[in-house]
Amino acid sequence: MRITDSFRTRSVIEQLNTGRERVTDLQEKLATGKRINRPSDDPLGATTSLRLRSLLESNKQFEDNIIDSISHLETTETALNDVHTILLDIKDIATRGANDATIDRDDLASNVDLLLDNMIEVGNTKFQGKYIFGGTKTLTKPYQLNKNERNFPTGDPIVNNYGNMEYVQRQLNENTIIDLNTPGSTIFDKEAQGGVNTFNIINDLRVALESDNSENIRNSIDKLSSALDQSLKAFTEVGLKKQIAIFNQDRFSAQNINVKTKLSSIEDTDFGEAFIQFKTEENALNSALSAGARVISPSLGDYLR
Amino acid sequence: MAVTGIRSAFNSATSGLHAQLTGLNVTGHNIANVNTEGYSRQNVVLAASDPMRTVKFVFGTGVTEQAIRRTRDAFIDQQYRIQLSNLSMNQMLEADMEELQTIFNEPSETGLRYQLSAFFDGWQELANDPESEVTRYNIRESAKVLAESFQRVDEQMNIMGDNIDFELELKVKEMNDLGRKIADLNIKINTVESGGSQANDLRDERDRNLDSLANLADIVYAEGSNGQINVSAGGVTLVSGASSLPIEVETYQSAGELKVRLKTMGQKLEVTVNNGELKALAKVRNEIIPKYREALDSVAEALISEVNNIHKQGVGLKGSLNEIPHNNKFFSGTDASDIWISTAVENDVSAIAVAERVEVKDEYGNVTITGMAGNNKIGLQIGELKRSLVLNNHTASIPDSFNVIIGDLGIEANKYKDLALNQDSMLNQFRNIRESSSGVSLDEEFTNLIKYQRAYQASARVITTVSEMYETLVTMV
Repeated sequence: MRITDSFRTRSVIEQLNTGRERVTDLQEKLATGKRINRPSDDPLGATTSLRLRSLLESNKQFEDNIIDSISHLETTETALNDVHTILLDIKDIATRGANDATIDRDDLASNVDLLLDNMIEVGNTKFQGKYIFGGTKTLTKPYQLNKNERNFPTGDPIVNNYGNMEYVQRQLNENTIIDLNTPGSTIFDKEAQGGVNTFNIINDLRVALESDNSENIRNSIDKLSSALDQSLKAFTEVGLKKQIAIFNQDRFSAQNINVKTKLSSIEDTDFGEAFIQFKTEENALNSALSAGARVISPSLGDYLR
Repeated sequence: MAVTGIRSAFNSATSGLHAQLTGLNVTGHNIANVNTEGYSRQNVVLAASDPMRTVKFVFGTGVTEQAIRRTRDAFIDQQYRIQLSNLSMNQMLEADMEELQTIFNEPSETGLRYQLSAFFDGWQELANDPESEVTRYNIRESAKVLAESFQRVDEQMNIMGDNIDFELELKVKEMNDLGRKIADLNIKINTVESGGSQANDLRDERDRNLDSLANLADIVYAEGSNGQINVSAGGVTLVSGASSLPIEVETYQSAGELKVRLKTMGQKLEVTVNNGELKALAKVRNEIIPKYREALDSVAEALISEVNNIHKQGVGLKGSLNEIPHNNKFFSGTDASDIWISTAVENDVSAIAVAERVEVKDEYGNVTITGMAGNNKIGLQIGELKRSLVLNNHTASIPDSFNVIIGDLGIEANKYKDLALNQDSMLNQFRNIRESSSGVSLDEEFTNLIKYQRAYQASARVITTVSEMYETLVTMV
């Protein structure tokens, strides 16, 4: 084949261009640290990378949900602890009132009255400005003393419940949505579901102490035990929810490591490999430049007299 | 007889001088044009001139230049131009796909994918605290950013389409110019060649123009017996002898979209181009950009309708006058070009529905719509849309269908990239063959220089020798 001058120069330039293109491509991967700088670099890898990134973001949100849930649940546990403590105190007073004939029962009655107020306060516990025992009526104070009933007893509940029995939900992962809150009536006024009304029990004890009714005082000790069991049951259920939340938290920690590793293997430049390739291409380019220079220049004219 | 002999010897030698000088000229012309694009090397064709008859024998009378021939393989040219059309089309498609990829800007932390993901995650954040105004402001801002992203990508594709319209106009003008040049050259070549000689350089120029035309479209051409070339594209004759037919770009409506096609000015015949840059531009404008805009619109449409469907069933925060916002859309608009948040939500974040709707009937049968402050079921449902398989016959979620667009983008871009790469190699082969046959080799020309110089010197020597012999004759007398 005839080799013409323009063929020679064009040949050299094309080879140089190919070399430069390869070097530029590697340089981009080194500079950005990413293998995939546009979808065409690796279409399948690109779509996988998009999916995994969204997954990581979802997981982060779920983890935030879990942290918020755990806080809420711990506040509930603390409140239930207080319920427990107050009930124990009241039971102690009842015991003393029942057994000790010398004790001033009126004095005990006013103690019980104060403890009732405390119990109502616990029923109105807030978490981040929202009532936790009001169901989904989180901005309404759930428990209020029925003053009329207090002063003129008619057999109505001593404390009114202005909340509801609905659940505030939290999504802990793709498939798990928990009912976060414990409605107050699960703990305090559970008589409609086969339980006891703690407030009434406490109030009845006060009345019994004030009216020196020894039999009623003794009866209230058993009733207080029922109230304690009721609050313990609620406490256990809160504990279970907390366990579910923590379990999910751990799962995400593990899963995130896997996802991040996978994402990195798809997206990130293997620096060692890329740098070696870069050096190789750079050398090839230099050789091409050098060889090219040698090829272009000489022609017969250099040698004719 | 002797005088005749001397004179004819002179003539022979002179013809030699003349011929070698012509050879030198042609060689010089070749050397001068070693770097001229599209130049075909020329060489002088020498032949022994007509012999002289005498009684005894036949005398040679020297050399004549029969022709100055141009070395050009028309068949190779044709193959070359077909490949050139192919390559130009694919290179332009490759470049335009690159631009499209830049518009979408994925994978990244700032593209639509991220905005979509953050929007849905934001609804869970809202569900964690539906009573607060702060989380509502956040989701509204997040929604605005998302809507802006949709609009921006759509708008940029629109602008890209406009730019292509502009480029199409320029290329069409270029095509018309080339057509006219070829027609002019047809005339000039005809004029020169009817005088008997070869219009070599003019033909080279016409060939260059044909190459440029092949860049633009898949042309079909043939040389007539009068040396003129007729060119047609898409079945329509564009150049016929001395006249050229210009074409123009026409926009037309098709299925609610504006598309482009080429028509001849005047008769308005449609010119269907299937290769070359014009084809690439038309394809991007008529098929590729609309395809991706539609795909993006589908995602936006699904987002708007799915979110709104759930949102309308929920209620917001208690507003003024104890009325609770309900039955509101969250998004307004219908597709990627006009997606935005609804007026209700834009005016008041309390209108954002996170809670389930509750109907309360009073004793007169009047219904009031209300909701519980801590209820967040609607919020969670909207957040779950990130994963809900609402598209494609319950096989894809909204983020999934967006990812598919990106995947398709990458695959299509690679397709043209690979095609262009392969075409480039193929074209190179044909270019090399063409070069090899028509190109100037300085080595060769230098050799020719020596060749003609030697022959010239030799002929000159003949003249001086004959002159001396004549001198001898004269001095003898």
